[in-house]
Amino acid sequence: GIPIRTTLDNSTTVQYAALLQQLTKKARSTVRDIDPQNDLTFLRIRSKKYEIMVAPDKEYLLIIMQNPDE
Amino acid sequence: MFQTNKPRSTSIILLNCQESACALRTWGDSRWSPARSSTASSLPRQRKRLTNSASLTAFQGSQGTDVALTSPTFPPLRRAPVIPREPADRGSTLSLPGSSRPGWVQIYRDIYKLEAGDSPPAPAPCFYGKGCSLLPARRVGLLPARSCRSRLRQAARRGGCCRRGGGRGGAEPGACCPWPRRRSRALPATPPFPPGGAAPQGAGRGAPRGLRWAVHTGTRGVCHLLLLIFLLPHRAEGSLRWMYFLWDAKHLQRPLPSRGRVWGSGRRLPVGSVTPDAPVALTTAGDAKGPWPGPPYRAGKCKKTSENLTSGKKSLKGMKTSAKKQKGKSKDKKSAKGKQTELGKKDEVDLSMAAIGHPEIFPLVFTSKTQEIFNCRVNEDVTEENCFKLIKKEDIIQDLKSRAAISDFHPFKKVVLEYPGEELLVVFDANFQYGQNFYLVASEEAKQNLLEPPETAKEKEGEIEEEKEEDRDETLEVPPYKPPVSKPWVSLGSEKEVEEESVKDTATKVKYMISRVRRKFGAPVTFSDTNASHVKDNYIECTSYQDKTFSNKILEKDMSVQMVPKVREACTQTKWTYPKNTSTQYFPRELSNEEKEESLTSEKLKDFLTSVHLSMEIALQQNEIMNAFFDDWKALAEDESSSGGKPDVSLKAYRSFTDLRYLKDRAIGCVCWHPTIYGIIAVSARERLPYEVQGNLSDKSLLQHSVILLWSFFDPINPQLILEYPEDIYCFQFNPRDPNIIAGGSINGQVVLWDISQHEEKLQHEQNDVDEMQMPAVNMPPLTQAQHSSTEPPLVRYCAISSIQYSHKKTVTAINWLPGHFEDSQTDAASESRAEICLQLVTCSPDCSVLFWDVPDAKLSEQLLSEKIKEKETLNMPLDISDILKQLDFSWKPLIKINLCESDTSTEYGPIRISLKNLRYQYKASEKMRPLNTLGAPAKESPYTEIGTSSSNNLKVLDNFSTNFFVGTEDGEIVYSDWKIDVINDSAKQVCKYSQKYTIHTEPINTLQRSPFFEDIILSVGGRNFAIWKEGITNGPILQSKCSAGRNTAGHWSLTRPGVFFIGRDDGNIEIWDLLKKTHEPSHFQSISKSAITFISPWTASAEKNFLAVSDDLGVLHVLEICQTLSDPSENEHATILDYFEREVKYLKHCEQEFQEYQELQAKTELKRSWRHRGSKQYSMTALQETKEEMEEQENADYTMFLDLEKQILTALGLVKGQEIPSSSEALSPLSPVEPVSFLFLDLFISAEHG
Repeated sequence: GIPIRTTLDNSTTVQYAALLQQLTKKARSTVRDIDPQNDLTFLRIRSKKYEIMVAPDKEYLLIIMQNPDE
Repeated sequence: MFQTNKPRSTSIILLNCQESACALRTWGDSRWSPARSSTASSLPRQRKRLTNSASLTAFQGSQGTDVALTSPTFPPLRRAPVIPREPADRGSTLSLPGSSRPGWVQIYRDIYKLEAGDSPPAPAPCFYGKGCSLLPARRVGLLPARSCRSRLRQAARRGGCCRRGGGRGGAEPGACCPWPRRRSRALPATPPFPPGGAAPQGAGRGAPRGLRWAVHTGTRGVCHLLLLIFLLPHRAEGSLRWMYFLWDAKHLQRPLPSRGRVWGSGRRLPVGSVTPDAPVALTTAGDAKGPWPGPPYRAGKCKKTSENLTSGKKSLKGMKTSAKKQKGKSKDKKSAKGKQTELGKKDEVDLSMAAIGHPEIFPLVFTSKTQEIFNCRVNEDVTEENCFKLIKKEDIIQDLKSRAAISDFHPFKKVVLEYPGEELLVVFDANFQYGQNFYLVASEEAKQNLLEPPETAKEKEGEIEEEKEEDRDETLEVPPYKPPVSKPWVSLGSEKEVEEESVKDTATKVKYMISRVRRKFGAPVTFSDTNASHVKDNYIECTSYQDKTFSNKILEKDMSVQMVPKVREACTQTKWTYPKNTSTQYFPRELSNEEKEESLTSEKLKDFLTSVHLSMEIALQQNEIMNAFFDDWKALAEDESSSGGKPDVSLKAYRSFTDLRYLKDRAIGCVCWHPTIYGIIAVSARERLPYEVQGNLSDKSLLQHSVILLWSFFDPINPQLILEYPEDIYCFQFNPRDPNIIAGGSINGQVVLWDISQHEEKLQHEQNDVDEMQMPAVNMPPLTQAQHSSTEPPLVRYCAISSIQYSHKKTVTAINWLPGHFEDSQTDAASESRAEICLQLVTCSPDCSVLFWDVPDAKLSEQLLSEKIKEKETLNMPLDISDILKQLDFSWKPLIKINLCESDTSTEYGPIRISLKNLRYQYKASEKMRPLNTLGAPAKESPYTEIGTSSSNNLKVLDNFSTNFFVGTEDGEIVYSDWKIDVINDSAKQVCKYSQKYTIHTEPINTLQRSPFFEDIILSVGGRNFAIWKEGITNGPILQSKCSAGRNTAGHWSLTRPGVFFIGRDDGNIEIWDLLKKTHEPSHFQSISKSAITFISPWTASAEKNFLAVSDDLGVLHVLEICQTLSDPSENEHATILDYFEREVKYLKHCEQEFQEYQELQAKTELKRSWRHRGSKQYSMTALQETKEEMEEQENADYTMFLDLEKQILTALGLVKGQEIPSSSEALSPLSPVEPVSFLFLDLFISAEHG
C-alpha cells in the first residue's frame, strides 16, 4: 500500500506498510479459509520490543506501533 | 623262384643300390651280361623317370629280355598261365616254380625289353593316373612312409604279412620279411657291403641291404598284388630311402605294371630298422647254404627257386665283382646250400623260427636256474635294452652234460653242438617276440648282425641322391588321395556302456489268469438280497481317517520372493537457464500531496477510521491499563530470590592467606588480583600504623624489607612470588594489558616497576600442577605442604625505579594505569587501536602533586631497539622488558606534574586518591619528542622543569578529552579539578585551572573510585561516612551516608552489580550497600576480621564465582566468595540505578533551586527591610555605615521575619497551631548547615519511595 499519513520517517513507513500489508493479507486469508463466514477485524503482533496493532479494512490499513512497557 | 624257359637264362631281379646309374643286370647265365648303363638313358623319358631312381635291375635274357613271372598258385595265372606277350614272342619267358603250399606268393616280374631301339612299351598304368587298374594304394599297403613301415612291422610281428587273406593267405616265409623292431634298432650298423670280391660263402652278406618286399595277397587269398619295396640306405645322411614296386597280378600282362615311388627319404627312418634282415629275407626261400637248415617243407620243392634266389642274392652281395665270379660262387654255394637244407630238414624239429623267416633263431625258455647259471637273470643281467648275452659254447655243453634233460638247452643240443663259433648269442626276448623269454641265435652271421647292426649306407653316390631328389619331386606331384571308405565297426569296449544305458525289464511280470467255469458261460444271472453285515467282506466301509504319513507339520518352507522394483522411465525436458546478474531498482510509490489530501478527506477514509477507531482504542487502552503479557510467575520467582531468602552470610570465606615472615606485625596495604591468571592475588605489606598518622608516613624510616606477595588459591601457605623492594609499597597495580608488569608506589615517593614475565609460567603451572595434585592429595595436605615449603618462592627484584629527585616527596598513595591511546599528530585515528597498551601511570601523593609517568612500551621499544642491537644479539645478550626498563632505573621521570594548589590562597592539597575520567591520557607528541619519551627520556636532555614547560608546547591534550579529575585529599576533601594546561601560562608549575572543593569527609579519603558501570559516578570513602558523587553535578554529592560509629577504612564498587558497593570498617566489618534495597543503611553487614579492614578488592573469576579479597590490619588476607544475590544483577538494575541517580540529581538540583529561591527571597526581604530601614534613617544619616550591631540587628530582624513567615505558612497549611510556633526569640540561633537537612529530606524521600 501507499502510506497516506505517518508519524514515522518515510522509509520505515514504507517498509512497515509493505510487510504488514502482506501479513494482513495472509492473516485474512487464513481466517477466511478456516471459516468463510469469518473475517479479520484486528491484528495485534506482540514482539519483544513493542506491539504492532493493525486494523484492516477493505481499502485501508491502520498500523499503530506501541511500546506497552513504557 | 623265377622260372625261365631255359634254366640258364634264369633271371633275377636285382637291385643295385650302389650304382649311381641304372643298371640292369642279369645273372644266372653266362650269356647274361650286365645291363648296359646306357639302357637307362635309352629309355624313354617317362620310363626313365620311373626306373632310374630305383636302379631297378631288370632281367635280361640272352636271347631276349623277356622274363615271365608266374606262379602256379596264382589263380588267374593258373587258369590262364600268364605269359607276357613279348616274352611269348621272344620265347624267353621267365617262369617261377610254384609253391605247393597255398598262399604262397610268388613274385612275378614283368621283364621288358630295355634294349635300345625297342619300341617303348605301352604307358605304364599309374597308380592314380589315367588308366590305372590297380587297387587303391591303401588296400595294398601303399601307405605313407610311416604307416607302411609300421604295417610291415606289424606283419612281421604277426609272423607274416600275408595272413590277412583268410585261410589261403598263409604266411610265406620267403616273401615276408619280418624283422624285430627292437633288435634292429639296437644293433650297431655294419657296413652294408663288404669289400668287393670278398663275398662270403654262405651268407648273403653283400646283398643289398635295403631290399624289402611285402606282398599283399588280396582279399580272397588271391594274391593280386605284389609289392616290392626297395630300401635304399643312404650312407651319408644315415637315412633311408625306399621304394616300392607294385604289381597287380591281374595285369601282369601289361608291359610295365609297376611304378616306383620313393618315400621316407630322410633322417627319421633309421637304417638299422630295416636293413638287418635283408639277407634273411632273401634267403628265406629255402636258402640251403646258410648254417641253419632251411624249412623242411621247402627244401625239395623249392630247390630251384631257392637256388635262384640264392644266386641272386649272391650276385647282390658281390655287386662290384664281375658277373662271372659271382656266377661261379653261386654255383658253389648252391651245392652247399642244398646239403645244408637237407641236413636241417632231417634233424630239425621245427624249433627254429624259420617259419617266419628266422631259421637261425630258436626260442627257448630259460628257467630262473638257468638264468642264474648263465648270468642272464631277467631285469638284472639282461634287460629290454641290453638284451644280449653271449654264452660260451663250452658252458652250454657243460650244462647239457650236467643237467642233461633238465637243461634248457636240451632241445637245442644239436644246434649248440653244431654252432661254428665259440660263443652263442642268447637274446632276451622281453616282448616274447618269438614266443619265449629268450631265443638263441644259431648262426654266426645273425649273431654279428644282431650285435652289430649294419650302418647306414655310406657309399651312396651323389647321383643317387640327385635321383632321390627328383623322386621326391615326383612324389609331391602325386598327392595320396584317400577316398573315405566305410569300415566295419570295431568294438572298443563301448558295448558295456550301451548296455547300461538300455532299458531292460527287471521285475517279473505279473500274470493274471481269469478263468470261468465253462458251464457258467451264457448262464442267466440271478440277483438276491443279502444283509450286508451278515456276509463277511460284503460291505467295507471306507471311513476317512488322517493319514499319519501326511500329518507332519511343515515347519520350514523354502520360499523365495523376488522383489523387482518398479521401473518407470520418464523424461523431462527442461530449459537451461543460466544465472545472470540483474538488478532492479525500485522506489516506493508515494502519493502526492494533493492525492494525500484527497484521500484524507475522502469519505471512505472517514468511514474506515470510524469503524477502526473503536477497536484500536480498546487495544491501546488495554496496553495502557496493564501489560497483559507480564510473566507473573517469573516476577514472583525474582521476588522470592531477592527478598524472600535472606542469606545470613552473603560472603563466604573461601581462602585466607597470611605470611609469618613477611606479614608479621604488618598490615596489608594494597590488594590486587592478577588480571588474567585465575586465583593469583597480590598483596603489599606496610607498616602497621595507627590510623591517625597514616597520612604522614614519609618521615618513617623502615628498615624491614617490604615485599609484594603473590598468592595462589592452590597454595594457601606459601606465596608464589615475592616482589622485592627496600621500602614499603603503599599501592601497586597490575598493568591491565600486560599483567607481567606491576607498578607500585613506595613509601618514599618513588615509583617502582616489576617484571614478572619470567615467572608467569610458574604462576600458571602452579595452577595446573595443583589442579592435578589436588585430586589425589586431598587427604594428605602435609605432603603438599612439605613439597611447597621446600620450594622457596622466588624473589623478584624491581626492574625500574623512578628518580628520587623527580618523584614524589611523600608516600605514593595511589597509582593508576592509564590506558594509553597513543595518537600521532599526523595520523591520529590510525594508531588508536595499536596503542591499546598501558603506557602511562598516574600517581598521587600527599605532597600536593599528581604525576604522570610514561612507561616505555616494551614491545615498541623492542622494535626500535632491535635494529640497534643487532650487533649485540650476536653476543647473545638477551634483551627483555626488564632490560629496557632498567634503562629507566633511577632516571625515570614523570611526564607531567600537576600541583594541586589553590590558585588564590596557595594552599596545597595532599591528594591521597585520584580518579581520572576515562583513565585516559592522550597526548600528541611531536616527532622529535617521541623517541625521547619512548626511549626512556634521558635525564640530561630533558630536565624535569623543562618537561613541564615543553610539555605545554609539545604535549597537547586532545580536545575531546576531559582533563577533569577528582582528588581525595588527606584532609577529607574531594577536589574536582581540571588540570588542562594553559598554554599561555608560562609558569613552570602546572596550576589547576578550576577546582571545586567539597568537604564531606572528616578524615583522609581512603577510597575514591568510579563505578565500573557509570563513568560519572564516583564513590568516595573516608572518615565516618562515604559519598557518591556525580561528575558534573557541582552541588555536592548525590548521596551521602550518615555518620557511622566507626570509621570507614575501605570501599569498593561491586564489579557485577551497579548498585552494590562494599565498605570496610575499622572494626573488621564489611558493609554491603545495595542501593536497590536501601540507601540509608547497608543491606548486609558482616564481620570479617578483628582488626580494621585495610583494603577491599573484588574479583570476578567466572560468571558464578565472584570473590572479594579483604585485607586487614593484622596482615591477613581474606578471600570471600560473594553469594549469588550480591553478584548477580537483577533485571534492569542498571537502568534502575541510573534512574535513581538521576532522581537524586534532580532532587539535588531541586534543593539547590529551592535554596537559591530561599536565598533570593531572603535577599528580597532583606532588601525591603533595608530599604525600610534606610527610609527611616534616611534623614538622620545620609551616608550610613552599617555597624556590626546594625548588621546583627538586621539579621535578627530577618530571622524574625522568616519565622513569622514560616508561622504564617505553617498555619496556613494547618500543620501547627499558632501557639506551638516557637517564638522568634527562642529560635534565635545560628543557622544550622543545610546539608543534614537535605540529607534528611533525601532519606525520607528514599524510604518513602521504597515502601
